[in-house]
Amino acid sequence: MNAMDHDRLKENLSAFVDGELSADERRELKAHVAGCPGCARELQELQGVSSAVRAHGEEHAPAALGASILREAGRERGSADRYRASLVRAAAVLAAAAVLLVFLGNRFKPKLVDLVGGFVSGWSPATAAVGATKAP
Amino acid sequence: MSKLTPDDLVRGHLDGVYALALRLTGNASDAWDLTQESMLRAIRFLPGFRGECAASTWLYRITVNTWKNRSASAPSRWWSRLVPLEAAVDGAGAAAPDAVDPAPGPETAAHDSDQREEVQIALAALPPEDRAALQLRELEDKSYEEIATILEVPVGTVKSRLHRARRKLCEALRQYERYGS
Repeated sequence: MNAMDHDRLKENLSAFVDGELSADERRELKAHVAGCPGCARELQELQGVSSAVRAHGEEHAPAALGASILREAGRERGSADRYRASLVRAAAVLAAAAVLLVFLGNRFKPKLVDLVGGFVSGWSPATAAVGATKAP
Repeated sequence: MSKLTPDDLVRGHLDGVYALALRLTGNASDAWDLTQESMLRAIRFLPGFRGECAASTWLYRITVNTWKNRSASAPSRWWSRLVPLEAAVDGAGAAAPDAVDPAPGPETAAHDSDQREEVQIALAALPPEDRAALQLRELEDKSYEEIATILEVPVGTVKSRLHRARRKLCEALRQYERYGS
């Protein structure tokens, strides 16, 4: 075995501890470790450090943190709901206004048309000109 | 898949997210902020979560992203960078004192608590991404594939990062001469 092979296998020791090697890689590494005291020692150390972290690396969140997150999430949701409710209210007011406009429009359309129509039909450039000359 | 609620997220994953946040930030106060911000983001995104991966993997990924965003856009927190600097000046491998979580109860035996402190100090001396990879592997039992997804790096990087992190831990723990017992 050359040095490059040795280094490649040594790099795999951690993945071996983690059970992340293929069956072929495992077999090759096991055979190598059986004949290489350096790698056998390193494997033992890596396993030792892995169990030390597992045994002593655990962390627990402070008790108040969960409550603080849920409170803040509730507040955010409350303001989102209020925003949604105000949008719904605004939409309802706009819809009512639109209905009212259509209603009023339909009801007064004939009169409006008459009014505007009468005004337009009574107006002509000739009368406008007469009006203009009479004025002073 | 049944619908997850904000309560489910907090009840089932708060410790995991906090532990990851602690590994990433290196101190309890920033870990609190990062956990809170990540959890709130997750709760906001919750309706879009389709269960393509484990909820914890999804949450941890949000946590790592939030941490990256915070570190990238933190000009107002320039003083926070002075803390690791001071720790480095204090001596090689010396950890910031607040990196050690003061939370655990007094019931643990003295030897156990010594060992715990050693492990915590040795962990604190590693780069944040290495600590996170170790946390996800050893305490969350995540596969290399999942760790790669969470940290957004190739699987090969996870493999070499874990190997490097464990080598450094071995050396640090050997210095205490209690390692191996």
